[in-house]
Amino acid sequence: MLAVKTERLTKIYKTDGKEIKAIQDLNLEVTPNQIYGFLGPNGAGKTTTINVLLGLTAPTTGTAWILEKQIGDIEIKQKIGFLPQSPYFYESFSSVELLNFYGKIFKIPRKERYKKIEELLDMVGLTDSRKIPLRKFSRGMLQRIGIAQTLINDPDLVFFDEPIAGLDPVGRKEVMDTILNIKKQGRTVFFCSHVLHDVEMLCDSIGVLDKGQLIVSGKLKDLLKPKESLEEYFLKSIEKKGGEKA
Amino acid sequence: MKSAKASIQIIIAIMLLVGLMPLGNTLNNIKEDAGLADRFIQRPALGFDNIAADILWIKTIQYMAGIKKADVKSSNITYEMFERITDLDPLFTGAYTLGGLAIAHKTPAKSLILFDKAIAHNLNIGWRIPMFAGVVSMHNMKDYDKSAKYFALASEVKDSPFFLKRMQALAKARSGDLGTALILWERLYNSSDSASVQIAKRELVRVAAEILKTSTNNKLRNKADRIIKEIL
Amino acid sequence: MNIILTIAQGVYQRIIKSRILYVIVVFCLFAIAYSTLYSAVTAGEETKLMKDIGLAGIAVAAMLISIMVGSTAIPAEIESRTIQTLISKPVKKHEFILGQFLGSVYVSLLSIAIMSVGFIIILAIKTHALNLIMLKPLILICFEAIVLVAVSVLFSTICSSMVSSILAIVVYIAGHLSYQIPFLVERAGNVVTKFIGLFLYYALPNLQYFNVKAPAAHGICIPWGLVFGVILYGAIYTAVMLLVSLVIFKNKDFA
Repeated sequence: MLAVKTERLTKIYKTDGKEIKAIQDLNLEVTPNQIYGFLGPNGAGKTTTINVLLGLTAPTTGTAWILEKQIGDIEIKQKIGFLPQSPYFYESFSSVELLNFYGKIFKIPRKERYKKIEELLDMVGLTDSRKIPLRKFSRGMLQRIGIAQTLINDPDLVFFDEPIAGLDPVGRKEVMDTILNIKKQGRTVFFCSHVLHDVEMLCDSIGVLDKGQLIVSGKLKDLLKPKESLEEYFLKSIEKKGGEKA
Repeated sequence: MKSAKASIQIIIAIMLLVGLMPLGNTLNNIKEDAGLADRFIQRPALGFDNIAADILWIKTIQYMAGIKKADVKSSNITYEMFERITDLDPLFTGAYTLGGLAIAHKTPAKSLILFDKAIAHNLNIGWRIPMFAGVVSMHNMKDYDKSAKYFALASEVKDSPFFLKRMQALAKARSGDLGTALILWERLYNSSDSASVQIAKRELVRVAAEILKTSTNNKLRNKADRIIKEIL
Repeated sequence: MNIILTIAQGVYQRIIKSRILYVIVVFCLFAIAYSTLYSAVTAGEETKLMKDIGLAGIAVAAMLISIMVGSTAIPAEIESRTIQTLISKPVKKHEFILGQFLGSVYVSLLSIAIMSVGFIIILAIKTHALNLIMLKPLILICFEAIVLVAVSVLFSTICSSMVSSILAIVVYIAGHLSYQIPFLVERAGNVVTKFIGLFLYYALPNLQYFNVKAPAAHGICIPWGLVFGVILYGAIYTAVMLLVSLVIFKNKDFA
């Protein structure tokens, strides 16, 4: 079983008569129970890929499967969680109200829902600020409540789009610990980032996307030579790709 | 598949919109029957016509309070103001009444225009406005025929006072239509209203005497003669 | 249904915390209360004036609130990208639209109800009678608000909240004038003008149907047949607006 599989996935945007290929013939396979780092420079098409996988936008050609179900099937959404890039939630809501709202969307029974909310708040360390409206939250706190929100439905697969970007060192540490914790619970994490240091510490395998195309994919320990950092490897592969094209 | 579903939805939307046409006509008819037709509103103000009328009403009252000497000019201005108020709020009977009475002395013809408008735009106008119109046409216009018509209209309103019928007969007599006056007074003489019977007795004699003095119609003269004999 | 109601409840929870709503409601109640002081200059028509001001005040406030709420609900979700989180959950697009619509309707009706109760109470104090005849215009104000929410929701699936509220206000104005179109069409010589006129007449909501404020203030009986007919009219028009919104929204990307 694969957590994520895409087949010649292509998304073309048309703006002002120009066609922009955001992703091109993307073939991706992500096995379950791991943290998969989806890397690439800004504008490589990482977010577009996630948006297509989640059904927020339709692919131009090609298709994809999530947890063995073709995208577009509403049932998939019962089993996944999603944290968008720099997430924004209803700012007048408190953490409890927000989690309760999403819990109700999943039709989780009341008693179970409140139990789950307590668990999640405890897990992301927001139990004390449960009643504070989200507009008073710091970025790190917002990121944490965002992560809690992805887990309300006990998903098998979670998508994180740049979860660590823009956080201070303490915030990064907290978020990374939480992500590792999620993996320990037996879930698959699909993790988008351009902060390579964090990816190196967290991920089991990676895929590198550049200009809409997958240029590298595999297990981190197989890809990296001893003492080579991911950053070195990443730059090397992108340059190599550029050289091939030239 | 997706586009097929969308086209079905669009078709349903258009059908519903078409279905609104007969419903709209029905609603127009109901409004018309209830005397609430929108066409009466001459100066539309987006559904706030009556508020606009109220503001104008307050302004008009203030204008009228400031008039030092009533003349034709001020009367004409007052008329225009009430005309506008009632364009905005055709159901505002208070405005027709006050306006019509206020300008009756200087410009009675315009006063009658206001009263006529009130009668045309209100299904249940009551008896007061036709009565005022009758009084204005009788006293200010000296148009007794018209006056008799207004009194007739007023007296037909349910629960209207009995004296309106007497006013109608009086107006008819003054207009010179002695024959009709005679019939009307005779009816009142035979009615159950004691006050009217007394007055009718006196008026019948007066009208009959007038007929005998002026009329050349033999049939009418005979009738007058018979009535005088009956009463005296 | 459950999801629709949850989304509606979310809309309600968000809007109810916004101050502008309270400002409108309180201002309207204040205007009604203030109108009782006008008796000196109304030459015996103060009750009519009070009823007029009350009904008009509630109608204006209802229009402002329903357009404001209806045209911001969806753009707020799109602009703040909260829609991405929501759509990534098992929410179908029609559930999203209907939820936003119902939530907005709920807020509008709630504010109309509060203003109406205040109005009836102030009127009862002034006239020493319970003016239940006022219920009919108030009911129709509610349904006009529902139609306006639906119109605003439709616009907000295409435009920003600012543009859609302006368009909704244009529809409000045109909707109150559209009853005059047939009279204008009769006089128009050109076939094209006639066609455009009739198209507008049937495509725009005839909001004048919902306006029975004047007869109610004059104490004229408004037939129940008219009230129910207008409610049916409003319901059908709302359904049309929502159907079109759904069609537009189905093909929308939220990336």
